[in-house]
Amino acid sequence: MAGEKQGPLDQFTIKPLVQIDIGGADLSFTNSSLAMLITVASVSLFLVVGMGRGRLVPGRWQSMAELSYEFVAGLLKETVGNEGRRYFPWIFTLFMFILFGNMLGMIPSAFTFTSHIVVTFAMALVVFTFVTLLAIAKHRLHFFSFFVPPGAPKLMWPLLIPIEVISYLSRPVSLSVRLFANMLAGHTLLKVFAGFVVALGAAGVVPLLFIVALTGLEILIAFLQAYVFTILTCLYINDALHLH
Amino acid sequence: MPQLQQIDTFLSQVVWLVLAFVVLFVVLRTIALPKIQATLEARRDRIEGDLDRAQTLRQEAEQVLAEYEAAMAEGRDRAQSVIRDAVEDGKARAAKAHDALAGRLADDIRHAEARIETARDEAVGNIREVAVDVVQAASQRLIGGRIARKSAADAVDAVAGR
Repeated sequence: MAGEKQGPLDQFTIKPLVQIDIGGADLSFTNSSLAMLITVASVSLFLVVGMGRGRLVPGRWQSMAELSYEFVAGLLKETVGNEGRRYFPWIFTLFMFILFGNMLGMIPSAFTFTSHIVVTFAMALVVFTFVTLLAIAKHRLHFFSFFVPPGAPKLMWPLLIPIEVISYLSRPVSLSVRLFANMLAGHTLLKVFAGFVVALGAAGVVPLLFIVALTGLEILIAFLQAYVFTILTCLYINDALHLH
Repeated sequence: MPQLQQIDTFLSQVVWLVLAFVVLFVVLRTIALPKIQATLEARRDRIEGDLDRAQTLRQEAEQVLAEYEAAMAEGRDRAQSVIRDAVEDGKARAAKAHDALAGRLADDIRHAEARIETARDEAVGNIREVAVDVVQAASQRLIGGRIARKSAADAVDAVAGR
């Protein structure tokens, strides 16, 4: 790689670290896989070690662990209500996984696995499939009334129902693209301006300062996108449980 | 863009994603979440227990205060009635003593007046005797003859009666 010209998009390249081939399928352990495992380890450590013996009066770290729990629990309660409690472990895992994936990606030269559309789309598709199956299991055929806006005149149905169906089917796309595009754009922008720092010489201080500010913004976005992904998942679950 | 070009890595990414996510889920579900829940519940129970205990203690304190005030009021009433009885008793005894003393004094005055009366009568009687004696003695000196006691007494009575 040394001496090779690096573009702003090269940071997203998947590099196999350990070649694994099972039945002709390439399941190599890559830098993306490594980032995922680091995320899993970090979340586990953050929560398990942070909770320690679970003191009655928490320290800072334990407070943060409890805060993350109560944040997601509050989110779920607000959007879904008490029925949502049974989905809490999944929602919490989802939130922590995306949050730590995004945050660890902010460490310079770290890999951000959430910047890959296939990863975000896989997650969104699982959410979408789960929510749809949940709705059908709960409401049977009545589920399809979800595509009819309440109170709409019958005359409008031929127009409204396709719109509703399309908007429902586009959920996994918007959910995955939102996270992917935010991560992609942020990291690309950082690298583009980082390139300017070197190119401009002494005047490179200006883009450097910009990068500092942008890094702060990106950290905010890293949190925000994890939050958005989670709250939308909660809203979809709410739709599935209550329709409309 | 590697995201759309490295299609041959898609399977690996998804497989590792599922693996990582499931591992994280299992770790959180079995270790982290029960721990956090237990801690939060323990804290909530502790706080609620403390609040309950505070409530009970407060009620007890209020009850004790009410009992204390009742006892105080009762004691005050009893003290008032004791004082009232004592005052009335004292007044009655003082009146009785006063009456007795007044009676005794009246008796004493009556006796004294009677004694004074007799003493005066006696003194008045004696004065007559003395006057008769004086008349007899004076007439003896003046006329050289002794006059009868009877005459002297008549003379004295005549002068005293004037």
